[in-house]
Amino acid sequence: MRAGADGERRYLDYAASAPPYPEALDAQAEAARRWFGNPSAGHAAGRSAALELRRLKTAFARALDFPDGRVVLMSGATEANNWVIRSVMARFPQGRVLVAADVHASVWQAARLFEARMDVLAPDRTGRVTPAALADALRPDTRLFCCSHAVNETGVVHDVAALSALCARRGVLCHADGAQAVGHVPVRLSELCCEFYVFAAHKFGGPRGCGGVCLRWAGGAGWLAGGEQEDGLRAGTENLPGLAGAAVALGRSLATLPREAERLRALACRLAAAARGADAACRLNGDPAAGLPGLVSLSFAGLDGHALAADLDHQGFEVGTGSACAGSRPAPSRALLAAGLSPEEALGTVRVSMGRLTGEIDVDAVIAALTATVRRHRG
Amino acid sequence: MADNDAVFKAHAVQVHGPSADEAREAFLRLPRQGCLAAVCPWESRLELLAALEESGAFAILFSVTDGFTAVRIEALKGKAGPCYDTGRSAVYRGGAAALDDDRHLIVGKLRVCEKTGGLYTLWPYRDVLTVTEADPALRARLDSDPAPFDCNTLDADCRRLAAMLENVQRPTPNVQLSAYVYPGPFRALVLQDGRVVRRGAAVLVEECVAAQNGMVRLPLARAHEARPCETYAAACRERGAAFILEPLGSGGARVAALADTAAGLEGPALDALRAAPRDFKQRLLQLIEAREPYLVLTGSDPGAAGGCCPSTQVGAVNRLVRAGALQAYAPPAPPESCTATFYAFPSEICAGKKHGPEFRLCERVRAQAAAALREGC
Repeated sequence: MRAGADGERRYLDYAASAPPYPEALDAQAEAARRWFGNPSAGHAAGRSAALELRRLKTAFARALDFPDGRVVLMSGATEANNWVIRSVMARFPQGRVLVAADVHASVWQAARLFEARMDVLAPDRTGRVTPAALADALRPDTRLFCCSHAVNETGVVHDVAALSALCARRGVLCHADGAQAVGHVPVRLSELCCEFYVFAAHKFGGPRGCGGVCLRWAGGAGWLAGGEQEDGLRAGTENLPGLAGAAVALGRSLATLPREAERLRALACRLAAAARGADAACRLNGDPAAGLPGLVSLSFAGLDGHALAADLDHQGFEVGTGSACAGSRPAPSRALLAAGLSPEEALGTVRVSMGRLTGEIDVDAVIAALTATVRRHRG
Repeated sequence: MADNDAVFKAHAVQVHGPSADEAREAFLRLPRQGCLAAVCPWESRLELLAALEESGAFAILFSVTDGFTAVRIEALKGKAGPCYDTGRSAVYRGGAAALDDDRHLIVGKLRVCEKTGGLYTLWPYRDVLTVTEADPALRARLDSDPAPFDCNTLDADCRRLAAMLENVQRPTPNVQLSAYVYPGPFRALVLQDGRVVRRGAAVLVEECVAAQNGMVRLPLARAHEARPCETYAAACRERGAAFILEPLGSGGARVAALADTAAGLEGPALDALRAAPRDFKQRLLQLIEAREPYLVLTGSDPGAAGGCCPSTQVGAVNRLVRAGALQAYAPPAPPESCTATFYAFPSEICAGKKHGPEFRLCERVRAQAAAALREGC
């Protein structure tokens, strides 16, 4: 692929995976060198690794204001989301799961394993799942409610505090997928009633392969055969170096969050306004002024979002077309359909997600490229 | 109210003799709402209280057992959640103010959110707080558009209390003070005269004040641990309003315990050595005669829930530790790992200059121990 007009490639798909902080990778490498002992081993190297692992978990939990639960490490948010749903559904063989329609594919597909016991809650026309809608949708036998804290495709940030509090009053377990939210919007788990809050380090500048669940539930069991790591909830030697990198990345993200959120939202608003001004059929999904900072989801009815993204990629702009995990499929995005888009609009969607390395010059460049590309594709 | 209690009591877990880390881990393993009971030696209480406070426990309350050698600490989990207004208020029925485990300083009548109002109806608070019912219209909004509530009034409440207490009469010096401890459920109390009593700390107060505030009298043998109370207004002036949130220190109690035993073994310790299992007596005598500094046992106390490789021998030795006849050192390791513990006689384990402890033989203590061990052997 060639670079853009100014010779640079521009990465604008932070929601799929953010560029790692160099310090996070350094911390990961240093931890891998220093704490190589297996935390399950009883010798000094193992014990010191186990202590470091616990120290890192405590620090990570503290950064999320999560003093009262466990951080269970897994390979990423996909595994964690699967673990939550499979665990709860196994624990309550007659219970039902209620899933917000705009969840990530890992939540959706895991819930679909229990399709006969699965209910779906659609967001409203603004893309929001409201407490009132949730209150109506909960059934007496609902045991688990799953939602995203921030939606990967539209950038809508749900009021998980209100939703989880409602679940708590109704005796329903609440599972929030925070993969997009952690490091990008304020997350204070002490203010959420969630039993499960899922994270993935590579979404906030940490290393890939490190994610997990912040857990306030005692009913789970491991579904990988193996050792008794993570209290028997997840067999396999813990990814201590990954967590070391994640902790550094989280710290860096949180340190700049208020300033970055404001800056990225301003950039997103500029891009959204320019795109809508250039194409009368352009529809803006979500609210870039209040949603996930830097995420703009634009639907161009009648165009092929994948073709637009491929064209932009050819010009040096790396953007998404909705869910990265569903990026190769021609089917319209479930989350966008749930937000009220027609299939035609959903198929014409591109997602631009910006981050800490995105500057004004990048936004100017992508505006020029996007508007020209849309015009060209309209013929 | 009873229903509310049942939610927490349905997930009750008990641990015996946990370290602070083990208590913390047991608490973190509870579901979102639950109750932990931890039985520990009196000397460990401050460390455990601090660990539970730090872990987000609330309504922490302890009772004294076994003639003040042990305490049973009960801590609730479940204060996480957003603050919504349903028009509730709480009134503390004791002295000037009470500080709970969620940064609420209740001075007179305090407006509280729905979550806090609900927690205040639980059994630990029932005798000390009056909570108003929620406004039905505001409560109905919880399921549609809940009204946010700003619970963050601690600074303002601290300043208000300081102003209230600035000119309060101090206690008359000739009144007899005795040694008491406040067992909770609040993190700290501020008495009518402005003195501050922290949960778990042994303090000197008047009998009538202790009775009004549910404090427990220390036995004569522990009376020396008690200290005068600090006064709220003075501490506030010196360290700022946040002084009330300062964590409990644990060093004092532990140093005192070591100092006591360094002087020699006392009655309960000698009795415990006399009553030890015969084979273990032989093992300790061998240790003394061979001038070995310590012995190492692996496994956990069968009385401790969740420990790996339960060992009756560890259980027996830990009884000697609790009685003050032995001292234990467990190398740092996570609670779920298989533990190896070093045991020596009291005052023989000291902080090392490098990694781990250093051991020194204490001839006087060993002579006392040997005499007790030989009885009936």
